[in-house]
Amino acid sequence: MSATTLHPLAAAYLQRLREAARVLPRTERRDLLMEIEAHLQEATTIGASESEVLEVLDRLGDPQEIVDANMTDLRAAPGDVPGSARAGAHEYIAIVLLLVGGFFVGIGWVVGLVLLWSSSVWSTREKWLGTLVIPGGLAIPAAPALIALTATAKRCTSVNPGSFAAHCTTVSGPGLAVPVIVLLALLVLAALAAAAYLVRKAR
Amino acid sequence: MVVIRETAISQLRRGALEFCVLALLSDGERYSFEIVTALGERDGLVTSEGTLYPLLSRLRKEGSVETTWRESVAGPPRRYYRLTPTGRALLQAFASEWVRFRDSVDTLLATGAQK
Repeated sequence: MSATTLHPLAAAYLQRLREAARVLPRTERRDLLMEIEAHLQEATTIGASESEVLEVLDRLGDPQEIVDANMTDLRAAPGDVPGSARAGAHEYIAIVLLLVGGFFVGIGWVVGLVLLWSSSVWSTREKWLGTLVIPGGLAIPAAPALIALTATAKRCTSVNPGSFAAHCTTVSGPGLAVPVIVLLALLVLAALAAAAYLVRKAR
Repeated sequence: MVVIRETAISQLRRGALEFCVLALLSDGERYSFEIVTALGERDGLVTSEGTLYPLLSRLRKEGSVETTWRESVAGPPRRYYRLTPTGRALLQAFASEWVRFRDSVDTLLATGAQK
């Protein structure tokens, strides 16, 4: 925006407001600053005298008072402000489903995702984190690990059709190379860390 | 004495103010600066015009108004506000409640001391 067209007194006022508004959530702060800047531009024409500008600023009121009013209005508004709402069953179910919902043919994870995005306690950035770290949750690293484990089974075969003696061997499945195991472990850790982060942010 | 009066009045003012915004929009859309200065010019309604912007933002979130940005010929883009059906219904409900409230207070203020 063109703060340069503002009278120096109006620009200084806007700067004081910008500092006072640091306590507000980002979208609120941006909205408020944009509206007040537009107000100042509308109210003070380019050749406005100092006393005219002071009159406009006086009518607008103290920046701190405006920010305080904004905080009061935020509390009165329906809870769609990140950080102001409290976590409930909705949020905890979302986190659990994001982690293990993938085991139920993936549907559980999708439900978790819907709950994540419909919650009001997380910011958009946190929601993206929950979505991308990691899609499918623990089911993704667990699936190859499970396949490898079940494929590694004891197999017994009768040596001789007439005897009860059996010859047992351990048959290895495809197995997992060490780098793959490390990668899977990292995925598990990433998923757990993301879940822990979401829990912390929800409080 | 003065402190009590100021708190009570500022609470009343805050409570009624959002309906004044809705009332101002009842005959058509207006942009933020228009709304704020129109209310600011009324006697005893607003102490600082700047606090109306957070109020407008709350009304938006509550869904009683909706807005569109439009370029202006000169100066910054303007955010136009208009009533939603919800806002109109809220305004009507308040208007009739307000008349009852005001009449009762007026009656008590005028006759309370004598009865």
